[in-house]
Amino acid sequence: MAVMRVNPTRMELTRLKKRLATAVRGHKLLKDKRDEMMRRFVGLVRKNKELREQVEKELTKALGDFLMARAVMSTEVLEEAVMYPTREVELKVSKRNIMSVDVPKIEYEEKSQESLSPYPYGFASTSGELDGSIATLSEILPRMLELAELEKTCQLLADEIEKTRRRVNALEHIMIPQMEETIRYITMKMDEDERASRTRLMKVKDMIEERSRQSSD
Amino acid sequence: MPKPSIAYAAAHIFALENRLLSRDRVERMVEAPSASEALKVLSETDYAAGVSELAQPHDYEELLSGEIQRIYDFFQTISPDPEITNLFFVKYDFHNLKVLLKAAYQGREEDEFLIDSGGTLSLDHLKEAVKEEDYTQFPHYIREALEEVHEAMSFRVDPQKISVILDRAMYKHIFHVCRKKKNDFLLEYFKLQADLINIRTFLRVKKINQTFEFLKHLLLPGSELGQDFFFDSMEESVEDIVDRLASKKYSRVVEKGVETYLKTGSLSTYERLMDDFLLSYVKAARWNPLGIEPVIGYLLAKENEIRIIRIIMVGKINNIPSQIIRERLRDVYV
Repeated sequence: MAVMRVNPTRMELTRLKKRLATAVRGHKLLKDKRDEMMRRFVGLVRKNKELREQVEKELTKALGDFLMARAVMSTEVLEEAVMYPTREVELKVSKRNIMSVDVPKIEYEEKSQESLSPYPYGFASTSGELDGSIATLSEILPRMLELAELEKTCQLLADEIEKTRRRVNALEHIMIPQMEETIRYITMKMDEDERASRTRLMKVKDMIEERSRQSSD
Repeated sequence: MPKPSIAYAAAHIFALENRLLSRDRVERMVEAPSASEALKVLSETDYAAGVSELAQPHDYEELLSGEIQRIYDFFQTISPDPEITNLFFVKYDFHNLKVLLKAAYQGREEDEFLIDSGGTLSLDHLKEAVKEEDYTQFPHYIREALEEVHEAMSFRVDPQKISVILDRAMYKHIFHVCRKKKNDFLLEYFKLQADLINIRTFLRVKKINQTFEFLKHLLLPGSELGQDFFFDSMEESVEDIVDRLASKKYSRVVEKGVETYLKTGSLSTYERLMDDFLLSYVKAARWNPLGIEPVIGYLLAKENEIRIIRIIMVGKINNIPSQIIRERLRDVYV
């Protein structure tokens, strides 16, 4: 493990020790965060899969019906039938917080207009197959919104998990060992210096003693 | 210019009938492996010119609207009584009116869904008139309908009501012309059509659990089955309507249609039987060489043919199994 390029001083050592303590604490916290996010993520993904399969199945059926309704009417008549919708849907998108990740929350509300017919077309010139497919499609809408919310949540969560995991790994395998190594290097270097200066001092002392012995002789 | 007499028209049309799409051509189209293969079958028929102009099979609607326009032009020259044959073309006018009005009430311009072939009134006139809200130059039946729409919409805009008022006005006009011309054959035809459509409307309303009040204004006028009939039927179960209509000419349509509807929840069989029944009604009368029947028959046969082609093309483009296409396929005229 590479040693950081630092001056082997006592001040640097204290600084590094402090950083190491922070890194270790951060590592533990991030690891906890990652584990918890994974737990939630797995739950959400499972739900997502179920919902998606369900919506896809129903959507395929509804679109199939719609296709056949389209086959027995000309394009223009079909478009005329649905060109002026009577139903309005209000969508509110807000934020929700999962483990400090902002995920979207979609609120869905249908503005009902009691007096208006739910079907915006006349029944004489349109096919009966249209009613069915429009009813199915309108049933699916809330679930499609739910699915959109869930899928985005999973995506954001997955991104965040990836980021967190990279941080955890960086701390665990690079930052912390590197700092430990550097600390050991500084300590050793300082010990070495200390020993060197002690030897020097002893040598100097010896020399002084030698000199004073000669002068007294 | 040929003189449009009934005998001439009938003779001319007998000659043309042979060129209608025959059953085995339709069968070959259904069995074709792809949309372009199905089109190839069409290019062996009268549609050849139209087919060769198509860039790709997805544009088949162009082919069909071109054909509608061609039929319309043809009938303008050959029809012994344009007022009567035009009854089959007014639906395009009413369609365009619906589109224009709905667009106008939404405050936008709409060009895409207008049908510019087959209408008896010029599209530019219609556009201009809806824009200016000046309907004085139109025939009275359209003027009255439009005034009714404006009155109904003055309080609140209900798009269904626009369609409903115009549908009713159209049938009122059709019956008015039939009575004026004393044409019992057509009067009966439209009565049967209105009956069958009303029964279908009834089934649809019943399915979405609406009340009689809702059904009442969706019913077409001129039907033999009055409001009372449907009011009583609303209370009963769907099966009972079969018994109540057992004495009608179309009892088989209702019986079979309702049976599959109850089984599968789909009205497609009913609609197919309805079209088949109406066509067979006209078919039965087509050998009268001195009446307008063969002319009408040819007109309906053409409409039917267009419907068949559309069903097949939509099916082929979207890779629907031949079986499902065949379920919806109407009978052919010849």
